[in-house]
Amino acid sequence: MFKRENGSFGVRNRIAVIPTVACVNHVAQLIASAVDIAYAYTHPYGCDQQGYDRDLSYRCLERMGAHPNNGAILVVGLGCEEILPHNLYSSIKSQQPNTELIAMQETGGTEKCVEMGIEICKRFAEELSKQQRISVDISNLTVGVECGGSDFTSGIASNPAVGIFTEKLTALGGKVVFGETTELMGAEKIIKGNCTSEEVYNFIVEKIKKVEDIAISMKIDLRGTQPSPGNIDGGLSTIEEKSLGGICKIGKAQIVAGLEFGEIATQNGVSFVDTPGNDLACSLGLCCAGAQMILFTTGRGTPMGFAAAPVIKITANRKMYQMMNENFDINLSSVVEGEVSLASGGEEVFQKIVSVADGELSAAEKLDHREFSLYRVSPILT
Amino acid sequence: MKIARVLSRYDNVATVLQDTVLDDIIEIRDSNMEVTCIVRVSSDIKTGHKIAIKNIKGGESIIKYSNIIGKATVPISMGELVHIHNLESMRGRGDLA
Repeated sequence: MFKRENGSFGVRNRIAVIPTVACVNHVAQLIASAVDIAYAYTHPYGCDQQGYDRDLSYRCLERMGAHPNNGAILVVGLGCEEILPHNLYSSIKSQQPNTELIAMQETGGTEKCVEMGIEICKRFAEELSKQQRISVDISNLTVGVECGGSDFTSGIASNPAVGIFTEKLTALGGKVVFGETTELMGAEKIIKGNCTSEEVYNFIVEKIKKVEDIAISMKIDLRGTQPSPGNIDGGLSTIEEKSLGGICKIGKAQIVAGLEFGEIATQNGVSFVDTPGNDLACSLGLCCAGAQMILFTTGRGTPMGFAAAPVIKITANRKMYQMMNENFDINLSSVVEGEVSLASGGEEVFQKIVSVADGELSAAEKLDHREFSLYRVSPILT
Repeated sequence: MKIARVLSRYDNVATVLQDTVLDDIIEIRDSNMEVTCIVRVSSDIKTGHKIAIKNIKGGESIIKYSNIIGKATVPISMGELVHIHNLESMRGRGDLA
């Protein structure tokens, strides 16, 4: 892994190009596209945001900049947005000294800023190419576990195999983070058995209740989206069924902490992060919590990657594996059919994590998936 | 023979692993792939969809993973497809509020 000045370790040595506001996205994108290891964290926000919503966006961008998978960061801002470019730059630089800023209003137009940005990123890339990968204990890993495009295979094979991985990594001193609050609805009894304290359990249950109460107060039936049409076609009938399959990702490991979106997991074991089920928003929450990699199970073939961390795709749906072969890292169809044991499926997942941590590219990385999104919690008022 | 997987001994549904049609005879296998019962299919069921492995009364809980995944809206006989037409969620139902 790559050692960072703050003592953390990255599994990649990337450059993050972070726009503070949507109107500079194109500039950030042009800069990042000129340097292979540079990733543009484009998003539609940064402007017209207030209170907690603005603070959350700020915190997430800060966490993305300071993420251990980044060896260098370029903040690109305009200069009039609520997420102040100089502030974000200083917040990130205090944690990761290899940080630069281009504030367009103080620098020049698109062409000049793109030229400067590319120059900075090329210099970063040259410096980072000299840094050696070092061998460190696996307890330095934080892995996010997530599911998307679930179907009948998720709860039979992919998620339980990830559960075995979760038990093993946490037993070795590592951390696992999970979210998708909506998709825990109906799995409370199982979660209770995993939680180390009443406090953690109550935290999770309160978060689930909050989502459920919103649906009830809006007089909407969650069945419009939970399960989704794809989930239903894939054999899942209710949110409870989807949740009970999803929670298998934790296995019998202990849930030691409940975190708000944007908080960092610090304890060995499993931490819950309050995130939506939306795949990109969940990935953001898990990476903010410190995940250096994301294990993503999908029966329906969700292709996305994520800018901050390699995403590793596991499916157990043979038909989808054949259809979208290049999008998957692990095929556990034989576990569904009972030809391969769940234990060996779990071991395959564990070995893949070790390889990807050592530099092997995941399927989504090979296909250059670099998705990113912020998560907004308030309506647009202005 | 076609098979369906049942995930716990308390479950009243299993997941079929091949497309099945009316009158197919299928084996219900547990997590160790041991056959727990044999069921005659009474409706066409697509791969990955659920089959009732017990007779279920209207209003009774549907159990999978030994937990409640919703309730039967009508009586369901052993061998029938169990899906959104006869199983409904009990959670997040703002429409009932």
